[in-house]
Amino acid sequence: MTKKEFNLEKYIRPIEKAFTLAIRLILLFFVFTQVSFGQTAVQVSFIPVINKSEIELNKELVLSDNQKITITNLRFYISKFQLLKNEKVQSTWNKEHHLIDLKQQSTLKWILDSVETDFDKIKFLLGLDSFTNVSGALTGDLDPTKGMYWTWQSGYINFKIEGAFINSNEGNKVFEYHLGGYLPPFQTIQQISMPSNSKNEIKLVLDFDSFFLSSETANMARVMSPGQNAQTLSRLLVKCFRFYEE
Amino acid sequence: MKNKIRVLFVIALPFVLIGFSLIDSDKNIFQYPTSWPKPHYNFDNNPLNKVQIELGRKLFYDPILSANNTISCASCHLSYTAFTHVDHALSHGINDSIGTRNSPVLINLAWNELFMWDGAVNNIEVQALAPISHPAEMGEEINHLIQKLQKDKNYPLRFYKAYGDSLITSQHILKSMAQFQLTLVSANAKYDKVKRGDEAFNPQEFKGYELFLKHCNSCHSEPLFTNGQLASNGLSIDTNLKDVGRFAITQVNDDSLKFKIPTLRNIEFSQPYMHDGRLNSLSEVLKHYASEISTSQNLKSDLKDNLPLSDKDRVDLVAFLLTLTDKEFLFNPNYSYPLQ
Repeated sequence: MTKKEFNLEKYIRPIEKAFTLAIRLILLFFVFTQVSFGQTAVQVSFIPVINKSEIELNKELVLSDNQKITITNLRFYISKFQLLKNEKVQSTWNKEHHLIDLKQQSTLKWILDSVETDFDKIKFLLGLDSFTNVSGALTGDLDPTKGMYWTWQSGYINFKIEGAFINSNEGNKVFEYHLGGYLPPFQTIQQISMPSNSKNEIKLVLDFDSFFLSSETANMARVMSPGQNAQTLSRLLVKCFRFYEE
Repeated sequence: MKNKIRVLFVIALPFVLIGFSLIDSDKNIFQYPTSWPKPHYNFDNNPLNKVQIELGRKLFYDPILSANNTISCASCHLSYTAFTHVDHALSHGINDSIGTRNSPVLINLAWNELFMWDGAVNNIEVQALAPISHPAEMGEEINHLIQKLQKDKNYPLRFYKAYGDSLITSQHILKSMAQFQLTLVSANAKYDKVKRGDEAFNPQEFKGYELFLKHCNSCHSEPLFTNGQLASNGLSIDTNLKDVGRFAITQVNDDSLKFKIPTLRNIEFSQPYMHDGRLNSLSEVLKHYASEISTSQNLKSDLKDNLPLSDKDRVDLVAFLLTLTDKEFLFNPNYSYPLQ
């Protein structure tokens, strides 16, 4: 009996040994991937402004042509935020889709953990790609309860800005822009890509001055569905981004 | 003794693992004939599960989905009439308001790529958001609906049983409702029995089937009796409704007056017909295709001329269309109002 048990021991031992070794290797792998060289944390922040003044919701602001304006709602999606070096992707933010909402200040900044210090360009998408738009009921920032999903037709609003031009004589002129649409030929997603010298902080200014002074916005106070108008206005937004200068 | 336990453990481990992978009692919920194409819906992201289907069924039949708790999905999609609003050209919703479209049948939805008459919805999971939010249908808002369900005395427990979480989310509402609707498979009409060799068409039905293959099958393609596309079928535009169909969604001229090609399964029970329910009987529908097609820029090329269908041909065609009635589907107890 004892002899038989001893024999079996011979077969079990290697299996157990291999198992413990595998666990050790997995643990080592995790430790190594966390600590590597040449990496740092980069803080990213978005600063929505109108002609140099930071936007506070419901506050009166002045455009560069002296028109008074107020913003009541500002929400938009950014996707696939990346840092590049010589056109090669160095780091990608692990949060693929992010909803920025001016009502929640915490959504305006985040930290990219352990990214390569050596980058010369940032790149991201303004809006959500078509795959996300056909992917059914999603959660988190993509939850249809976030007020960024059209109900009467499938698809996300990529960019929402609402407010009014303040005019004491004629009364306020309300504007509502719900920009979205993923179907060709009127896709609204935009790629933003900007050369960057900064190392530890990326501060992006989103200045709506040119957007509201454009003839396109002057001619339409409301865009609430996909189509040519939504695409035209979405393209205007690309020119609103720049880096913050002290 | 200690070694014996270790031996048993090592030997048993693979069997236990294999065993777990085999436990899948929900595998047989969704069945369809082997000759059919694969469903369009990707079940991997929302595997069918009996408890979740039952939750979806509860929601489907519950007027809590509407703003004043009066209208459920079943108000316009009745199981006994192939899940459409029979005898109503335009379906009516909350506070007797009336929509602009005839409620479509809910049949074999797993094969649908687009939903609604204009294909406005691209995934069955988000379809329910449209009627829930529409002011003339349920007039509700998804966040408010979640609050109502969370406060209800039964729903938190039902969601817990279905998803292991009593906190109700839009995703769990929408995915469970999708699950119930995905189970609405109709594949056992006389037509299907003939195809399996269990029954035979009578001479009139057979004549009708031949005419169908010649004139109808390019759009209403077997075995689903739709090719899933949108097309303009020669109906003149209703000057009151001014419904331009797909164009309203895409803003592309080529999509003007295009509507989804509906399945013909259970067509006997889903009158009235067409996107605005303007035709009351199958003979009126066939009369339209035989003599009343109105030309427009995007008219489907097969319909450029009226279809050459004699009076007798039309009677034969109707005889064939009646073989698409699936009583087992219409009276399936799993689809009807949930008791308890």
